[in-house]
Amino acid sequence: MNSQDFKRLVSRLTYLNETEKLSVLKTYEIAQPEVRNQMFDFFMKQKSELDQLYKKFNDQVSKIVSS
Amino acid sequence: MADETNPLSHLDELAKKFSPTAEKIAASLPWAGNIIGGIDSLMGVKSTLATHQKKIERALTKEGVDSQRAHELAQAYRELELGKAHLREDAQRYLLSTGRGILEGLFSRKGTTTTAADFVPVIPLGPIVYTLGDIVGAARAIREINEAKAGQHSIQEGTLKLLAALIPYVPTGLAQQTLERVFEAMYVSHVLDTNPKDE
Repeated sequence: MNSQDFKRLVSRLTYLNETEKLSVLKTYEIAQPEVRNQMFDFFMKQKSELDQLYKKFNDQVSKIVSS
Repeated sequence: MADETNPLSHLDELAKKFSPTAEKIAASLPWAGNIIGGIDSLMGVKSTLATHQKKIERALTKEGVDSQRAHELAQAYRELELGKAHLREDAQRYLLSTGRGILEGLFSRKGTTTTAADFVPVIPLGPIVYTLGDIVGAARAIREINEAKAGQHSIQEGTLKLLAALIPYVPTGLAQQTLERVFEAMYVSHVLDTNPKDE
């Protein structure tokens, strides 16, 4: 895990706007290593939950369309 | 033209009607859910989610999607947005907590002066909305921090809480120097002038 990984991760969180993503990255850049690790883990978990939301949504849409 | 065999193609057609840029957006969105999202963005985000759902449902029906499917699609969209809203709230809470931790770190930097600039990097999330009271409160808190560092008194827990609570409301779009000038101006005009120190 490094800064680039985190930037890529944050950039994929579609529920944050660009200003918010920049703010997260600023916070990340000045945080202590242990805080960075916590932030990375937190957003990885959020990304996983977001992926699940979209998967559920896609499944629902597919089901509705094919019915 | 909409593909009559695919109800979702109506969404594509609908998206094109909302804005000249809609066609480009629709073309760049590979799957059905994102087309709904494209319509969402074109319709603006000011309405409530429930209103949004009704608008989408009405628009889909008007465009020829049968009412049952239109309802289910709009409902699925609403569930997705609700889930995203919950994730956003979690992120705001988490980042507020993280920001507070970093603020606490500022207190350990003995011999330095805390300024508004210290707060710029720890601004996490939140609306770009702030009040005069927020700015004055922050300026007062900064003064208190510096007085504490000079050994004049200890930092009060209330101040730390105030700063943590203010983080989401500081205007994130302001440049660092601009923000610092705002704090300084407010500090002078509303804190020093109204609370002069005893000479």
